[in-house]
Amino acid sequence: MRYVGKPLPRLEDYHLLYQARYLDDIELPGMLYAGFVRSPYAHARVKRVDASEALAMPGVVAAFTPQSGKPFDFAPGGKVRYQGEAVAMVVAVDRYTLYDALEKVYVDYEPLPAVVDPLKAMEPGAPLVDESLGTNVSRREKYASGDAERALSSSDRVVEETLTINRVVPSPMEPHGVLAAYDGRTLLVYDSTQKPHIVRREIAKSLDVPLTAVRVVQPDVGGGFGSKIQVYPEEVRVAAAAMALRRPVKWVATRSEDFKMTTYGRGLILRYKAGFTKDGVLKAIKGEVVADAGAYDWFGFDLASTAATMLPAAYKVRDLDIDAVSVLTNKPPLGPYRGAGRPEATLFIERIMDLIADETGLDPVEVRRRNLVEAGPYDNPLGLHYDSGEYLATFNRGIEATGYYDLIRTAEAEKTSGRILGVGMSFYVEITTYGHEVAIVRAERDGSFTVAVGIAPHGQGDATGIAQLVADELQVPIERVRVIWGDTDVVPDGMGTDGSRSLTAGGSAAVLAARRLLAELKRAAEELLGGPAEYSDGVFRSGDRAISIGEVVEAIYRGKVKAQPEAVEVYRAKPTFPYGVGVVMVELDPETGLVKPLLYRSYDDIGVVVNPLLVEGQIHGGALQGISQVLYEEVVYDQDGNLATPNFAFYHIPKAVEAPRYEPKLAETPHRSDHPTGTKGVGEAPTVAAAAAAIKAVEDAIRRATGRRVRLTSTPIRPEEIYKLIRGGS
Amino acid sequence: MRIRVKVNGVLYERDVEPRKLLVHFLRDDLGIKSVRIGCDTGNCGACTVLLNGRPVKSCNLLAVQADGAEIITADYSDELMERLKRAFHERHALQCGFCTSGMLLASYALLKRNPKPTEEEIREGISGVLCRCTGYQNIIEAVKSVAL
Amino acid sequence: MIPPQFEYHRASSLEEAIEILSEDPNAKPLAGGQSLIPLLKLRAIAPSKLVDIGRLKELSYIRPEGEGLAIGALTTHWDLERWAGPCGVLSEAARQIGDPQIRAMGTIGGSLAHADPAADWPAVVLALGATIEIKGPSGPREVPAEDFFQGPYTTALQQGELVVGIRISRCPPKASYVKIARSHNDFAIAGVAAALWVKDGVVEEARLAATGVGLKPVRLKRAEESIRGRRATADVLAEVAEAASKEVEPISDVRASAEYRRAMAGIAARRAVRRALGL
Repeated sequence: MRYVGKPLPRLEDYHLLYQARYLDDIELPGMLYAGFVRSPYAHARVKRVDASEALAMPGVVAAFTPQSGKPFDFAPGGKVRYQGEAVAMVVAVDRYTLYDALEKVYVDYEPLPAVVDPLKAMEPGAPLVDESLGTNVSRREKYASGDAERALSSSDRVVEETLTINRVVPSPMEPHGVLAAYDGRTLLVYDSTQKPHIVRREIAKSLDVPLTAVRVVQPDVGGGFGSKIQVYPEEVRVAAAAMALRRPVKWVATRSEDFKMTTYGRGLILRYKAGFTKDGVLKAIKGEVVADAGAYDWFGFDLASTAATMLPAAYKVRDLDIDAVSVLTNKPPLGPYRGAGRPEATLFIERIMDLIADETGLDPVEVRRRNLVEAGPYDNPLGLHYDSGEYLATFNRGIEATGYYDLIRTAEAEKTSGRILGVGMSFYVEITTYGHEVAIVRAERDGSFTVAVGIAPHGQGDATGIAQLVADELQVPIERVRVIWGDTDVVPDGMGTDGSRSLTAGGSAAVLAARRLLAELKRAAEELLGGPAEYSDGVFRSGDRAISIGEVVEAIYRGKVKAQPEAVEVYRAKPTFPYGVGVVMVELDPETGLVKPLLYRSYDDIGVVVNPLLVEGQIHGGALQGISQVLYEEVVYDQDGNLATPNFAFYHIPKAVEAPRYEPKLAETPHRSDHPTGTKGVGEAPTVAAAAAAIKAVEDAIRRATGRRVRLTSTPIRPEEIYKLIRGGS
Repeated sequence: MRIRVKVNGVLYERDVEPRKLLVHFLRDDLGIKSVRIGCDTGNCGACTVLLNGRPVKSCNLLAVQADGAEIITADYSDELMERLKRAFHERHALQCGFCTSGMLLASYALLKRNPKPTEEEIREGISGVLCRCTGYQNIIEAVKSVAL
Repeated sequence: MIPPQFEYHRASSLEEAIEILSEDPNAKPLAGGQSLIPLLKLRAIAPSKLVDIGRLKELSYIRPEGEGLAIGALTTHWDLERWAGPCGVLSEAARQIGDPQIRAMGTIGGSLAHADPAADWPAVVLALGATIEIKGPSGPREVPAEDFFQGPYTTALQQGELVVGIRISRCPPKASYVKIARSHNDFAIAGVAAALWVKDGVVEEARLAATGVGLKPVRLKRAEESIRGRRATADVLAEVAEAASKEVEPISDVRASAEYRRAMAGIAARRAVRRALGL
């Protein structure tokens, strides 16, 4: 092992520092600009769309409206179902003309009553988002094991509560955008996406062309965090317009537009009853996870179901009865956001653990110890198989390593000088990795290697991690390994980057492809050398004869030996389960209720660590997103479904002055996953851990300030709410 | 309206529509793509450039306002800019890279006027640029390392 | 993201700017543009003309005058942030506006004329007892800051008139500006500027003003009364806070409820007085 485990700075950086090309940086000759007319109403019938005045403007090339039919598919069912849903598209020669023209498209709406609150949407008589369903409950499934009812009735204590995690805007710094060009046979689509192959599939299906007629290229992508997983109607429409007009068409969302059309994250509610013993052992949970799915149930149910099935975490409770429910509302569709159901599950169950601690008077750490499964593999009662880990021992080490009790003591000591600190801790286990991944490793004539992967990283640094893995596998200097991705022409398939799966699934595919290629080259080398060969450091040796990989490839092309210089691996990637401890310390201004995060510490078992520098980067950024969701990020709608936080002037993304210090630690003896890489993924773990710890930290600070037991049950926690809790009691 | 600007040492003279934003002038008219657009309310700072030595948000400025000005973008190369870029690389201070131009220029402007900033001054100095990936710590460490 | 069309005039003199602005009620002056341009980009306004006064260098100055200070309307927040002379509260307040990039372009005159009810400068100039110097088609006039702000985004400026300067006749020996905002340097939930004259530990004169807690910035006259002629003991400071909370008339919006703004007005007032006095 020469590279794996080393904190290698990223190979991607020099490209990004000097030659980065994001979607809007790409220009094609004759390119046109597309934009969308969006509904000002959250719910309305679209009576008529008149684009004639826009079309008459100089520089306007085309307009597409509900009358254009499929594949544009504006206002399906004759309605718009959320504020900002597109009703028409204008294509013009430049951005400035385009935005003038968008104002000249006239739409007659018949406003309908909107339903904004998912719990109200479940009640009879609520306005229907989709009349054809006859209800706003889009899907409901039960996840149960044991006998929750009986376990509740035999519990010493039963509590009942509703926990609410509000919607957040994923907000990668680069908004959505797509550029499509059609040459009469083939569509070339540049797309700011996390999943180029899925985009290709969706566009080909929608436009009814073969997969081979669509090439999707992912340029540099300025972040996604889950919001660039969905293939949006806009992506299909831009491709359709390019096809119809036979000219390149580009659409780039403004930030305010991004707030209208992107999938939103979180938005889950847990209504539950939990039973536990007087010794703090959780016996049962019965309840439902409700997803505020938005106008279309793209992901709402999946998110509710992930949160439901991960709810037991690594706690011993086996009597469970949890419904996952997705509910339609007149809001933009819900989608994955860093963690996608797991931060919610963890916040829910950790809030329950903290409640048990409050009710029993036990230390929160002790409550978790009494409930934790000792070690994996463990079959979670709702059907998930946790692969490996020492949950209890690692939790104990994590409490030690994060200095949790030292921080509590610091908080107590600081109180005497009038400074109010709060400390919160969480234990998490989360599910990562799924599906299949594809890699091709090719040996070049000079013994260097090209690795093409179907994952689609956009900041995570997986190309560096995969280069480390492949360089080690092939025993060559990393300078001789180039990793390419983000182009459906270079690798046949792949699922892109999400779910903390890229290095595990993509890296394993690459390692196995490299292994297979090396075996093939070895066979060829042995034929050339005339006897069994040993391989090391790029050279095959047989007795006193030797041949380099480059010479073997050269011999293949010259016909001296029959072999293939390229290997492809289709890898099926089973889920794996990282876990660990997160600790957040905050400072509370008890007069105003304002809270500042000071510190994030963590102790994670994420399996094999390929590159600690990349891991650290993921933990810093992921932790801030988790903390920020609790402290800062608030989406507000009025009762008619109007978004009152429509852009960054109202929706607060934390700045450098508001970020805490991060001090992550990794388990000294990590538990491998079963994957060839041994990795478990870390992209989402810090977000999962941090949000649950942050809400407890705020609660702890309020308690320290007031000396009263205060219970927080929803995010984000507005300063105003804290102020009231401090002043008025709860 | 005809304007003259010097960008990274090169003089450009162009006709622009008065309403054209400086960021669009730089990106679309001059092809300088390192200046990026991440919002429409002047919050994200991805479009930061130096205008006569001061950091400004080029989306919050009309191109005509910059007439006669000297502009520096992240493509500008001098010892300080190259040291910053190397430090960003070594400290893993960029992930998706979208905010990086703005971060580099905010840091550059800070170090030009304050070569030994405290951590607090660094945080304030880059507070006009939003980063969603890094949590800021490695950016701060990178700027510190250049200040040493 | 794309401003609507407008005509653009770059004024080469103040007189020229005033002439164009007085001819066209839909024309707007452009100073630093840090409030105006975002509104244009969101197409919240559609002026017929922009009159760019940004190059009138003669309007960019900070000059001590007697016991006070004269500030040109086009002085940027950036320059005020670095001001190290009398009325040091100007520097303290400037630092709390936006971020370095906004401060590099934004001007004090532009901010006052924009009159955002949660902006910082209006409270500061009120507490400093400043006079707003205005020039228009009928010549120059001076308006006390208290009469200048009339409502949200509404001032005493008549058509064709521009803010050209701010005059502070007497810099307070003790002053501070405290802002309570939901995030760093955001628009105020409540911001209070305090200007104090103290002799032998007794506050002889106090001027307090608040922003973010009503339709326009307001003097906190009852809070001032509660400290005038007294020592700033904890009890007196509590009275200041209570008076400030009671006398403001905030409204609810997405950032904060009226009730919370009212409470924060009191906290900000107490903190501003404490900080001014170095307590």
